[in-house]
Amino acid sequence: MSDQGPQAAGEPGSLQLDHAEFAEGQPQRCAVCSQALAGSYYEVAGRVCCAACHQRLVGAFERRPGPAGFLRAAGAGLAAAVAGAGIYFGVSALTGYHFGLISILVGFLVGKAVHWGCGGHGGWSYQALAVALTYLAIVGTYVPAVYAAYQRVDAPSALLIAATVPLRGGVGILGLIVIAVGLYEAWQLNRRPRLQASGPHALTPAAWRR
Amino acid sequence: MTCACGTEVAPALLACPSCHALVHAAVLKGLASSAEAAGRRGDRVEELANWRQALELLPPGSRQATQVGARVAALSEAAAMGRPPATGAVAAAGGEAGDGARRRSWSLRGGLATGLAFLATKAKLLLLGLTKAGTLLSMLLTVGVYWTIFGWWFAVLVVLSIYVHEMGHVAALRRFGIQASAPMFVPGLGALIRLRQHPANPREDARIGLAGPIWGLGAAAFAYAGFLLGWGPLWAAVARFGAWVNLFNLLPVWQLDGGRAFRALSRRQRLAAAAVLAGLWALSREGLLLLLLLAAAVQAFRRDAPETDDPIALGQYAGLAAVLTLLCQLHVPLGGPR
Repeated sequence: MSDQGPQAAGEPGSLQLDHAEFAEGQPQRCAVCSQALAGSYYEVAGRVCCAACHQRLVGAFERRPGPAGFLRAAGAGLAAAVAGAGIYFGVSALTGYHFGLISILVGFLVGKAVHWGCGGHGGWSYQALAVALTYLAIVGTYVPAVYAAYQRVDAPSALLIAATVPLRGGVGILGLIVIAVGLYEAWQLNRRPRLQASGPHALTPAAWRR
Repeated sequence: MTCACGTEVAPALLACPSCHALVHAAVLKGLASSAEAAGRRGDRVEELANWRQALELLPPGSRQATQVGARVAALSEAAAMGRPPATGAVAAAGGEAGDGARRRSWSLRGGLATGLAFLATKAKLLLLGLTKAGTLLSMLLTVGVYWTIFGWWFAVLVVLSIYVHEMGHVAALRRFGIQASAPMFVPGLGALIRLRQHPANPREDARIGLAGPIWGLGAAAFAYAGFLLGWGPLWAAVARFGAWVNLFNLLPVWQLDGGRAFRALSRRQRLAAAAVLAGLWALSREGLLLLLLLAAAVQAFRRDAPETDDPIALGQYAGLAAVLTLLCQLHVPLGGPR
């Protein structure tokens, strides 16, 4: 591979940079099943693999979680939304400060929970779910203020009124920006991931006959 | 792309799977040459930046990636600890990371000259940061938003103090040769910098994270000095607000500066930091410290705490928490700015 002897670690000064050198020998084996590659190979997320493993990985990636997955994502997201609202009240009680920035944490928690619930598949329906639950958690923190302002109001009406607070300018421009960032966080975390895969690519006969 | 050996090389691969020819061989040779030249003239920052770029173009697991990774780690460790790297031909002169060793040999006159040069370098960096269109425009937008809420002068001074905090991160990133975006301001959130390369180790992460509050503390102290010099109560308000924002950033969670600092702290150091926060809260009754204390206590019981101590990170964290808490106690005279 190289006519130069190995260099001491930490001294890259005289490295040969024409060919990569691997300690374990032949990387022209499938990175997943270690089978020797013959004739062609596929590339999945920067790794070389055989046709069977490529098919299995792409198939697993494209499989949708279905209604059960959506329900699990909704349940996990709702739990995270409740936890997020709880953190807001807990921090307020602990420190005496009302941190609007917790909206971003709520978006992160809900986004991660939905992402977990749907097995990382993502997509617009999970993004919408995460955004809705994040918004619910954020406006849920306004409910005590709504109760204080409106003496006789039931819980659903209080939540409904709270949901319109940001839209009626009740949180100011900074509050709107922070809420928007929280919602964006939840949306981003549930984007449908793209699997980087290509192939088949031809292997030179000399390589796979070795 | 087809390799000289006849194999089709997939676009994402860094080496031919058959003959192992490096896809970016020409670029790698250029980077290696630049890194070696920088090492010979003692420019450790440039050397580190070049090796970092080279590392991204080498296949993981290859001998070359291992060696370049080891060199990056050695240079990074030296920069984090303020001493020359353990291996490699890096001269003792030059490089910001050598500041710690030089500091010990300061004579009074030399120290003054070096101190002035240091300030001039930092001032130059602060001015250079304003030449980035994204930074400047987002700063102006943020000033505009804050102006509507807090008034003109407070908005300008607060945004400038956040800018100084961010440039602390930029200075540390440059010291470690890490590529990153220019600071981008977001009203209500402060500002953010996107790293294009990952820190090589937790110590590096901690230095980069704590550089922001260190510079931010400088901005708050400057504002306080302005108040003491009779510039008006607005400066006391800016000092106190800036100190509070920087203290908030010491929250040891997620991507906040305190979170980065805690990645380098061993379990007992995390407990020590929690003890410092508890002591500061007992003295000041600043509610924010309870939040920091809670997060620090949780971090102390995480399993991913490193085995080895990082006394510099602990010292910086505890010192920052103490001084910022003190500044948060500032009395701001009412009656509006003069």
